[in-house]
Amino acid sequence: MAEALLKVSGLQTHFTTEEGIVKAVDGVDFEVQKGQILGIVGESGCGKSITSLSIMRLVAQPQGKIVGGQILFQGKNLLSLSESEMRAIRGNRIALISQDPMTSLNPVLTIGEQIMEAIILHQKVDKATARQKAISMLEAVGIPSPESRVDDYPHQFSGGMRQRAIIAMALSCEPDLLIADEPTTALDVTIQAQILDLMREIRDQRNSAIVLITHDMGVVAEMCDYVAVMYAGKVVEYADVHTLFKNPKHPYTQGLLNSIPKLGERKERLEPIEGQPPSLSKLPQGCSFGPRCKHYMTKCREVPALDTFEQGHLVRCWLTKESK
Amino acid sequence: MSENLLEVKGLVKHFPIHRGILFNKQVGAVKAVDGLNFSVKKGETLGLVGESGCGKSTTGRLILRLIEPTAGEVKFEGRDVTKMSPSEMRELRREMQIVFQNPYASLDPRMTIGDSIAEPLLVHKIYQTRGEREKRVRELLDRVGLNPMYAERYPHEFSGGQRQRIGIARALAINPKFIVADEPVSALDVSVQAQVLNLLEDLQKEFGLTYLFIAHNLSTVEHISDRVAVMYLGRMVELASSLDLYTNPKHPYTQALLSAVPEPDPTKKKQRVILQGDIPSPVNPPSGCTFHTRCPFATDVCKAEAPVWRDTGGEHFVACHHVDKLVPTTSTQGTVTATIPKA
Repeated sequence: MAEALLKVSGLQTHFTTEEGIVKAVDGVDFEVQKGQILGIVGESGCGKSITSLSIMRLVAQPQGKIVGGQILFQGKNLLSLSESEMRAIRGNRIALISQDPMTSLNPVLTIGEQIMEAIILHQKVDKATARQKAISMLEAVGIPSPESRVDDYPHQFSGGMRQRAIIAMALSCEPDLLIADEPTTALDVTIQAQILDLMREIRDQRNSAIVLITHDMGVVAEMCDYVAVMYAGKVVEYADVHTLFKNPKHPYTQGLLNSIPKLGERKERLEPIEGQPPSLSKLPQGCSFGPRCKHYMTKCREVPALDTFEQGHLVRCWLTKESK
Repeated sequence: MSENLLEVKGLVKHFPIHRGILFNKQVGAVKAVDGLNFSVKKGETLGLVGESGCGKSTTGRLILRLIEPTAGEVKFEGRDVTKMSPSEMRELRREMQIVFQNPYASLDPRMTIGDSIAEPLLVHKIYQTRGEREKRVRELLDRVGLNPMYAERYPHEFSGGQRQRIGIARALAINPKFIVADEPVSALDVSVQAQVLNLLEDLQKEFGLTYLFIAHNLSTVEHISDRVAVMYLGRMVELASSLDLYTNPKHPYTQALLSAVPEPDPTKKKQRVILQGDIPSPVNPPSGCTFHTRCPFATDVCKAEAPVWRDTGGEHFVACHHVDKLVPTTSTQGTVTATIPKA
């Protein structure tokens, strides 16, 4: 296999708070190849957004700190770069599409000005060229009559159009890696379908890699090639999408898949995962999923490692280690 | 056929838009709900789905008369709710309750959850003594799967899923017949949603409740509902039994909506109907059929005339001019995809 475009290993991002150290990300490993879409799934507070901010090195300072691990991007460790070197990558080689299209645009700048900002900064072109580029980007993401809409302010755009504008901005420097943090969560289902379609098109045409962060198993199944499932700051399972849905090994992944109603399935009763996700400042000892797990055993008082179950299928669970 | 608990006829809610301070006058209206006709049968769950701004929450609130309708009638057990006096209304509130969407905002942060749950008992003077009320609160907490000892705690000590259970306990306190559940699980984590859905189903069986279940998530609605109504821009476009609607969707909007839902199965490759454009504003909805601006099958008649809401057989209601020409097909994998009829 060729060298991965992005390889994250043993990533740990901790926050110092009044209640002690919050281990928001505490053991995240995955890699993404060119032209692939990797899904990171998990529930709120599992650390998926902090993972994306860590890759961009945008974790809030000084309370948040990357305390361990490596983030290799095109062979370079992003964690050892200086701030100015990082600035040359951020928005240029790696771009972020944030969750909330309502708050991630500046309301007092036009859509065009916001797209041009990154182009002028990274590509060192004059304003007129940047404007042309902004218009063509808006066109590429399917905004009708981009020549006039480029001068609109964010409030003149609908939610779906704002998300398109943000995608246009992220794509404007032709990044090698796109990180999309819940890009469709704030959108209605018919608009979500449009945006997901657009993202697939981008991948196909530009051969970019995409890290797609979501909590929706449906979106994962439709979009991703590989999936990393996160729980309480750790990746608990990593596999290609077909293996993950057909042969999930971690009890949390199994529980997640069983608990969602599927269209047309007409199940009498859902099988929920009992209990609540744990608070990150008061994590249970050993395996964080232990207290909610059907298969809890004494061994689970120690933290299991993320080990290979089969080629390309990694699981963090004592159960799979025993069965092997 | 079982009898109707609730009948809604010609329900309309227009929120006026005012301009000017000195010469304040109405310059328009948000047509949030624009002529609804439907009924809810005793003991069933009617699901109400639609995208944001389609008027589904407004409908729920109108039924409970938490907001005043502009026109139309809502009959609960044969009596028109919209014409009741305040004291009659208070009586009726014993029968109809609501579970709100946001479990963080719908509980008073300064009341213990025991007091929150006991408040309806106090208002409706159901028990005479504090001891009796406290006993009932403990019973309710136990029933929704919370430790009865928690009655003394405050909302901030609970997680979202637990708060939603508290909201359900409060709605159940006075033994209502009918509960409007407005997006009761959409603020919850996926693994917790199933717990709350199961709880709602158990309670329905145990107490013979009737639900109006409002949600935007089609898979959830299909799972919990006996019948489902689909709304678009303040109007209903389709209403049928859950099975019928999902296997045989007749309105092009329902077809598109169903095909847009991402399914948690990577082996299924759906044929998508991607709707162009955005949902129009309810201030200035399109003429005729409000869906014509996005409908792949729209013709001149759709622009000119609003389609009639009619039963196409077997209580499958649809509002579409071309309903007889559109044929849904089922793919080999059992999912329904919309078809494009030959023009």
